[in-house]
Amino acid sequence: MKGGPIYAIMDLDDSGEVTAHDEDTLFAAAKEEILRVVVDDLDDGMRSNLALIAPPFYGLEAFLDRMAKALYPRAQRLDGADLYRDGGLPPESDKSIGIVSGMEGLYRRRIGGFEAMKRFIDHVASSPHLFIATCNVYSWEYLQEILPLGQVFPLQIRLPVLDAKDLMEIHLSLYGEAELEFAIEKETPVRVGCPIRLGRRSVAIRGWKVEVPVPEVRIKDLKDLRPCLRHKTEPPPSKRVFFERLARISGGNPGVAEILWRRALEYPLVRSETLQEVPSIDLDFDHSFILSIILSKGSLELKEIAEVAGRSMEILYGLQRRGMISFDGKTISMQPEALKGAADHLRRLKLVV
Amino acid sequence: MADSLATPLSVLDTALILRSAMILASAYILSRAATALLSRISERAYGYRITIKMIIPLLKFSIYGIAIYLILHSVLVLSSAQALAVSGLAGAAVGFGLKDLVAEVVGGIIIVLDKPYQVGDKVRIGEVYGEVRDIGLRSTRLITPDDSLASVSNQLVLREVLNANAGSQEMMVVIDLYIDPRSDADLARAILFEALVTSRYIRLSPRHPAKVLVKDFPFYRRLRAKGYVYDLRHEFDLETDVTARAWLAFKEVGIEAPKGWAAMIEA
Repeated sequence: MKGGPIYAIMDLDDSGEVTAHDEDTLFAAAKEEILRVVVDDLDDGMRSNLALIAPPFYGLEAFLDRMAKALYPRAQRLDGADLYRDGGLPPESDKSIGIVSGMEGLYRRRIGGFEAMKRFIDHVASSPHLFIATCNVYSWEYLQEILPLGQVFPLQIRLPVLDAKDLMEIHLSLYGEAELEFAIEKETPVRVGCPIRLGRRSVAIRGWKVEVPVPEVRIKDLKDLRPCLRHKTEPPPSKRVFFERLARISGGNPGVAEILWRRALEYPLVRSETLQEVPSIDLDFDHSFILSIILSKGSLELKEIAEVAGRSMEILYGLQRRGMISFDGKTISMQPEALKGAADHLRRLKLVV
Repeated sequence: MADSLATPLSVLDTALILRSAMILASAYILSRAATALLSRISERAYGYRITIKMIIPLLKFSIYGIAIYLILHSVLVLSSAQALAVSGLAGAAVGFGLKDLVAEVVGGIIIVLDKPYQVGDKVRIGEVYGEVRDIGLRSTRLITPDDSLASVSNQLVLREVLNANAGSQEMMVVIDLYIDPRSDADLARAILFEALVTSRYIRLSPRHPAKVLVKDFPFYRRLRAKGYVYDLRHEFDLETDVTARAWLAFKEVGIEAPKGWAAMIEA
């Protein structure tokens, strides 16, 4: 095993959240850029609060830990759920930077459930301190329609989804060239690289997104024109198949991919059968609504669900039985592997953006 | 005279009658099957429900149009002069006896081509309000809020249609609550806004904002909440959910319903 760049380094703690234990992370460059832009601005007397927006499990906790470390002793770590309990106001502090994790913990979807968030927004707007906060993307989209979040956090970074190549780079950076062996159950032969391929492009027609086939010419593959025309085939590299499947199932979410990778890795063997495609989800409206609440928080307590949707034990049981959530009697969390399927389903129903 | 009338008509034998009946029966079965299939697909297609349902009347018109063409083609064998004579006769017949029927069918064709509303829309046609369940050749069938099936003549489409959602699955719902004019309007407005945006039936996006307006009247204050329901079938669910939760919250903070003019004068 060798040390690698990016966040190969991520580790799972007991709660299932992704944490980092190495100095080199995927976010290292982002961290430097943020420190340069946001903190330098603060030193120059300008205050540009920053929101980092990502889906659950993305691994932002690890990133905030590093930010807090880099900004020590100027920064103070705050937690959205704790702030909610304190009415939305951070404790008095002489620290000039507030780093808030889980801003989605500052509200409840019920009448009177936005008071703490409103107080927090007022505080952020009027405070001389700089705030860097993370927020669940589904909560952010919802709250933006209700509260002036975008105005008090003028800088917003939406964390991107990663493709198979990115994930391969991240996960293999810790290992030698042929250190791992990939066991794929079924390999479908594919055509060798053709310079002309049929790609798919998303085209917007009157507000609808339609995927249309578009021929793509790849200059670098021109040398393969002859074998391509002879319909020569070769088995796809196991590694590539594995990471394509990993990217598809995780939806490009690096935190979910990390969890799935750990399940698949039996050093030095990487088993692809642990990567199970999530079947398409078909839930009724009540199940879907509760699922949207859980998705927009990532993880929440049972009493919060009760506050929002009343008695819902049978619905929670139904979601748990379908493998969409985990429930330990007190806390309800999304199942990482169900994240993409749940988000796709709720997007179809327009319950999330 | 008898010869000249017999020429444009094929011999009306049993086979021809049977053939015509079979064409009509096939068109009926095909149209029912296509309607059932598309309705089923639309229910599973979530966001595309109304788009798929839009195809249904178009398909039915096409099927029946082809069936009528096939029958007429078998029955009538016309030269240009004869076609002119027959159309003149048909025109006279329509003018005298079938004008309502023709107006209804023309209305149906206009609905399909002009799309003032589509299957799945919430509309008011004349005095009837409801969800469009089916657009037929002669009439449009609506499901009213009390679950009755109403048939409205397609003639009315030319002058008396109000469409609440215009082909979209989302629809604006307006909820009026009336409170005592001495109540705290800001607090009431904030509560009603939160009741609206926290409802499970609300659709919130930059194109679908939520809003609460306040207007004073002599003996009461009207709060008007405007928001989009994510699926128009939940129009009344949204209304009920918001109203019930808002009144519970009003009660907790002492916001009351108007007491009537007599009580106001007394106060």
